[in-house]
Amino acid sequence: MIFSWIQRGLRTGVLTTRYPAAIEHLPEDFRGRPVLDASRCQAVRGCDACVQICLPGALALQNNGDGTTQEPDRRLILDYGRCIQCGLCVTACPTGALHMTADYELATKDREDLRMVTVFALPTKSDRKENGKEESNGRAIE
Amino acid sequence: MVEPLSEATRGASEQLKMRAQRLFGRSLHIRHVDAGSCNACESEIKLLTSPYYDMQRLGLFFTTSPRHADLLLVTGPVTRAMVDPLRQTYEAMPDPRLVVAVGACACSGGIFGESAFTLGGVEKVLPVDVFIPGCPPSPLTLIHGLLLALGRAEQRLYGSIRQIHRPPPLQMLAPQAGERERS
Repeated sequence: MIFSWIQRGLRTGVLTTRYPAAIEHLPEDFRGRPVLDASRCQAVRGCDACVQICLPGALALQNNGDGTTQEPDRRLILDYGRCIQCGLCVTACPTGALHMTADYELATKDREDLRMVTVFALPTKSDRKENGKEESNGRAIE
Repeated sequence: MVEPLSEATRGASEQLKMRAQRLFGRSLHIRHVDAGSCNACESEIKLLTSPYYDMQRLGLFFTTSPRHADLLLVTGPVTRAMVDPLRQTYEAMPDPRLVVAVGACACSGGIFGESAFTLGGVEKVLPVDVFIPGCPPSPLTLIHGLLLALGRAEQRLYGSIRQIHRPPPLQMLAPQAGERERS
């Protein structure tokens, strides 16, 4: 009886993870956290597919600046403190700008460190004049 | 509620925290409080004592009394009913003590948010040292968070990274349905 357990122990070896000493390799499809590839994000053009589908409200879009004193920009705020890592935003994104990573070292000492803000500069009026096309039928933003 | 600290007090408390981390470096006893969690976080915390993750090898132990505990592990969005028990547990712990918020609910309120029944995060009641996000966080994330509280692991995630991207010139943008432009 005892001998069979010793045999089994010798056959299987140590299974305990060596985590802090060695890096643990997780499977590729492990849903760690969503990461935004800002160069492919269409938030500037009014896309808010990920914000609409996010269940806990971890993703948010914010419009800043009126174009008078401050340059207008649109901010995509990704709050890992609210994210439930469901991966719905990845399926909703039309351009594939969001993808899930296998990161697991996510703990932070500050709540603000969990908040990722991406600032997209919006085209200003002077930009449009330079391009020779003044928007005449521009609809006002709500 | 936590009162705001002056600059000098904050400096002293940082030094005290560093000393506490050095004291706790090799052995730490954890008291876990469920403040309205759905038990997903508990199921992951339970896995820390399994042979695979085996947190005793790192000198981390669970204890059943806050009197013996150095670290308070809180899960859940802190329901109204659990505010007083949570505060009492914290007050029963000997100084120096650490507080770790586990899961999206404890970090920010999660899917519950702030409502008539939940406060929306441990931060509203106690000073939190480490936030462990995830719904639920994996046991590896929990180990990383606990070691971060002890100063034995490094923080990987730093927020408020701001990248400014100039949009492409307007001619290149094809007209798109639902496009909202600033006039």
